[in-house]
Amino acid sequence: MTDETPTRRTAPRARDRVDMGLTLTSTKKGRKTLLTDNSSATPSRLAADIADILKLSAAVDADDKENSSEENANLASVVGQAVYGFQKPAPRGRGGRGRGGTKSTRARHGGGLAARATSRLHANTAVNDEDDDDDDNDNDDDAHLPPGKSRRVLNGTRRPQPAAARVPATSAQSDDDDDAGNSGSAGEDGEEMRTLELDDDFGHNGPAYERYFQDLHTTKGSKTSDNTLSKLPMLSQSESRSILAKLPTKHKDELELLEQLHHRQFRQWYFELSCGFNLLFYGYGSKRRLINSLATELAADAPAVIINGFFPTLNFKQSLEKVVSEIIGFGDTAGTVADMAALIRGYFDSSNREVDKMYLVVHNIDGSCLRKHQSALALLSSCRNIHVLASIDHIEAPLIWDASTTTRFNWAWHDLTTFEPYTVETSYENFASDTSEIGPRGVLHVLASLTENAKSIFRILAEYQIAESVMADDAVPSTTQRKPAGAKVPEMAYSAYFAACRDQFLVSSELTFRSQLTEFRDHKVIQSRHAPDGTESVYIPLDATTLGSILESMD
Amino acid sequence: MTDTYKPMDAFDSMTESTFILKPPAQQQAAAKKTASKSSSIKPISADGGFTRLLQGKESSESMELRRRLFSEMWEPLEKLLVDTEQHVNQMGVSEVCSYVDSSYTRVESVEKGQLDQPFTEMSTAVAFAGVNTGDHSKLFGSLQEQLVTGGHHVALLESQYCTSLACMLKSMLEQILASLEVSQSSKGSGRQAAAGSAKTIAYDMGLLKLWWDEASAGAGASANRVVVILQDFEGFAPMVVDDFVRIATSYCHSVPIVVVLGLATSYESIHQSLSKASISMLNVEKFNLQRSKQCIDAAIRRVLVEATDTLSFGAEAYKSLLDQFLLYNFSITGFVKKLKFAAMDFFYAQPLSVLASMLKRSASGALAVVGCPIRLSPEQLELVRMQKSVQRFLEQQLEETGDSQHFRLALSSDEYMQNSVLPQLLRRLASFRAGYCLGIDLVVALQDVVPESLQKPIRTLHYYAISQRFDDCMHWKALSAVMRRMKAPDMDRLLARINAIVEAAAIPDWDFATKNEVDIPLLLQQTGELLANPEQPANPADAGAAEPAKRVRTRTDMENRPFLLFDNNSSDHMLKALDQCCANIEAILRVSLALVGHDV
Repeated sequence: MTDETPTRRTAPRARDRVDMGLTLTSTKKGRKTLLTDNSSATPSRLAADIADILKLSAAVDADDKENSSEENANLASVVGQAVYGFQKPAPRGRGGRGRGGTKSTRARHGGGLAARATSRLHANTAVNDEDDDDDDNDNDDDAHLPPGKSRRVLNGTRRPQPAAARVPATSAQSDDDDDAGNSGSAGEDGEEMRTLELDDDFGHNGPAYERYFQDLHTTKGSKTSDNTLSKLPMLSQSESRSILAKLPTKHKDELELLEQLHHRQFRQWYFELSCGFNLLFYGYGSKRRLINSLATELAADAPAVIINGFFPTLNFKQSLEKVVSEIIGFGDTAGTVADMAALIRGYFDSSNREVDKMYLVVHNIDGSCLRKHQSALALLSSCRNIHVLASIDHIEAPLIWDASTTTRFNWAWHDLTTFEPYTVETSYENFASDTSEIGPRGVLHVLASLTENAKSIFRILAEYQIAESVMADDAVPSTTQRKPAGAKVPEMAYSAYFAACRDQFLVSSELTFRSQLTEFRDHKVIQSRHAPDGTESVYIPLDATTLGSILESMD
Repeated sequence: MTDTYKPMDAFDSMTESTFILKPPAQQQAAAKKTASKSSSIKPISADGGFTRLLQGKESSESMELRRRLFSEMWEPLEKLLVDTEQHVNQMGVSEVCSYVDSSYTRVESVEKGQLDQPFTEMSTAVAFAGVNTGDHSKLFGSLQEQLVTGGHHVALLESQYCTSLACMLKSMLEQILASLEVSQSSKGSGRQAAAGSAKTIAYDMGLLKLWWDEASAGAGASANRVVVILQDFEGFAPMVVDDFVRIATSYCHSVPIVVVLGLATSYESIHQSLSKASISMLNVEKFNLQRSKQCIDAAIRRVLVEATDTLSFGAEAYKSLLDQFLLYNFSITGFVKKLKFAAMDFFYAQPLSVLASMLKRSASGALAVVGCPIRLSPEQLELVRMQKSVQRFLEQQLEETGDSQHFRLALSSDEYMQNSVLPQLLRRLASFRAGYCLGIDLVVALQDVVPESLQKPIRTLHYYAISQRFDDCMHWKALSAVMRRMKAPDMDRLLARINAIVEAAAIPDWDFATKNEVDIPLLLQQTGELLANPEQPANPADAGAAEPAKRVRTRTDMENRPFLLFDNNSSDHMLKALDQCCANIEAILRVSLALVGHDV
């Protein structure tokens, strides 16, 4: 057999090897690449290598199971891929006509532990063939690719291979080897065969790394988990608070120290205020509690007005009206925001005034409801006897002020990083316990944007529910101190509700009533339920106490 | 499940966004709190917010002194800055006022007894106020005040309140009618009915014409004008201004409307905003209102150079202050704000700021050292010893006198430090400030005789003086090079000016200031005599060397680079005398600017 091998060539042509059943070939771009043509790559050696790599792969796989880090996962996958590809039945002759691997696929074979491991297997492949020296690097890369893998990756499907092709390959390889050791390698051939058969079993039932490419390239669909965070049930605000309250406070001592340091600056800030500067606080974390603490201390000196700029339905005109009526003592509060600001400023500029000065504390002066009132705030800030303390949280908050507004504000900037959670500031977010309910703040938010008629319609149902609740409470024995959570709220029959609204001239027809109810339903303020007898009833999913406070705020 | 909201604290509400804290309730609460806890907690407003420094070891007298010194220092300084700004802007404001006064006069005289012209132009003053828009309110407020004082009816409009023509007219008429109401109510006639009617009727130019006819009929031929100031012209919507100009122009023949357009960018913005038709209706005259650079120069001169008992800044701090002005928006307000913050920081956080109380102005205006009203604590004296300038001063004294006893006492005895060393240090500081002011004045005088390209503003001169030594500064070298090329008449004029400056300088202690090295008045006197009579040297000891060995035609500058003299008509004696004059003047400058400045 060795005589048939031309001596002028260090390695036979691929076609010859196919004929001899010696080589494992894979093709790319119509050119062949020899995968095994090494005198040293005897079957026994190959089997030993396989065993080594299996041990290595198993170790890596175990490590992978323990540590799900990306690095280990990649390592395991690459190692598994190399072994897996090699353990697959070798391509038979020209059966593997798949094109060479894509760059990304080849990149996975580029280096690392797996590449080093597999290089032992492919160290003396057909790259030694002088006739194939003109093959480009892609082919060289493909030479490192396991034949089965290369074809599978590129074609996307597994082609059935003739089982007979495997046998000549091993026998031919023994023929190709000149050394004496090869002559008696029948036992090793049998061992390799057993190994390869075992490999087939590993391919389907083996560990995770064995199934990597199988899972990756099968058309069974994505294996990515569909369990996303959005599928988790939403928590109510109280639930969220109670859960968060159970969390241990991190860096408690450092936070206390930070707060003490901030507290030490209170007197300096007072001095700056008295010198005509206004204070603007920025920094990470909620600054509300600390600024309120400062405002409380300042209030001993002069009246302090605290405006929560993060309030979603903040009406700045009403805030100014409150200042005018409660601090200045004027009865007439008509006019625009600019008029009110000018009135307040004029008062504090005048010499004969009862209130000497005023502190204006604005949490989140960059809040959405205050952005259009910056000129009015600047007008107030420019008054020498109105001292403004404000906080910002938006990173681009200073962009809301132009040069002249900034000059009027006359800020002294201070870092007030607290690392405290924005509990109150974010309490107006959607914290519905489920999708069918809305919190009291949400109700207020919706009501603020509705007409008076719509508010009255809401009021009728709310008052009905409160009355029913009071009656029910009276009926319940006094031992029941507290209603269980999720207790049923009183409902009002649809027809009765419509009649009540019509009697008060809030709606003229059922059509308008329906459209109004639809709007409430869309915002989950009012919900309806159909009784078994077919009658429809409506209710607000809030308890009587909450409804009472909402009605008070509407007044 | 219903979600009942529980407020976090008293200032968190489901329905309220605004809370008001009033003092009485708070005082009661604070009283309860203090009664329950500790009586040592002081309210935040106690002592004006000042706290005891040095870990609370500072005496209350020292803290109170710092507080008092801050108010005593800043209030006059702030007034000085405001006056300076007003003074600098006064010229521009006066020009605009004169323009308003003189507008329409020619038209009125020409039109008297004649038919109305078919086309009239509206008098328009385009006032370039600079990019420092933050200062515009103050500037145009000053202009408005001055125009009102002159008897004109003025409306100051801001673009944020004039988003439409209707808003613009309403704002304008409200201001004009309100000013009329105020002026007439001051005369004793109630205008409540007019004010009431003004609120009910529509605001348009017809109303203005009616009002003007009524007002002018009573007053006869009035010289008053209706002045409309558009403070930030670039901020107005172009269409609004365009419409306003067209409408107002049509009333010009009956109501003398003068428009003042305040510009922040450039005059081109008028052409970019208004249409050609509108611009053709304007009789435009340009004015330059804000001279912020001149203003800042005047402020720096008065605050940092001349006022010897105010703050002194190091080179880096001064550069930061200057950069805020030059590189940001040329805002005088911003500059003053930073200056104030620096003063606040100095007196609030620096325990040694009490030393400012030891420097007092004498009746002659010179700075004098008086005793400190309080005893400095050991911690404060230790801080004094830790100052590098004090260490240099003491080591220098030790080298010069070899008096180790003085050195040892200064370091070990607080009493000796406070009574002997500290007044000496402050005297040195006061002399430096006086000499420094003289030096800057001399440089300014020298700059007046050099080409304009070599002239630097005083803000830059001050920076050079505090950041570099005299011999290292390129600007001083350049000035010196020019001075060494001067001819005799120029040098004579320069010397006369320098003499006047030195005579006016209030330096009580020349010897101490110059450390007995240079007697400036005597040196000037000798220089004058030398220049008057170059053939005879002022100092007889130099008689042998008076005759130049060779013709002096080549000189060197401060870097010893030779340059050729072109004054070929002067004699060698004169050239030598000029050379000596230059050397004397440089010595005076060196002494004034750099002798003790870097040691303090």
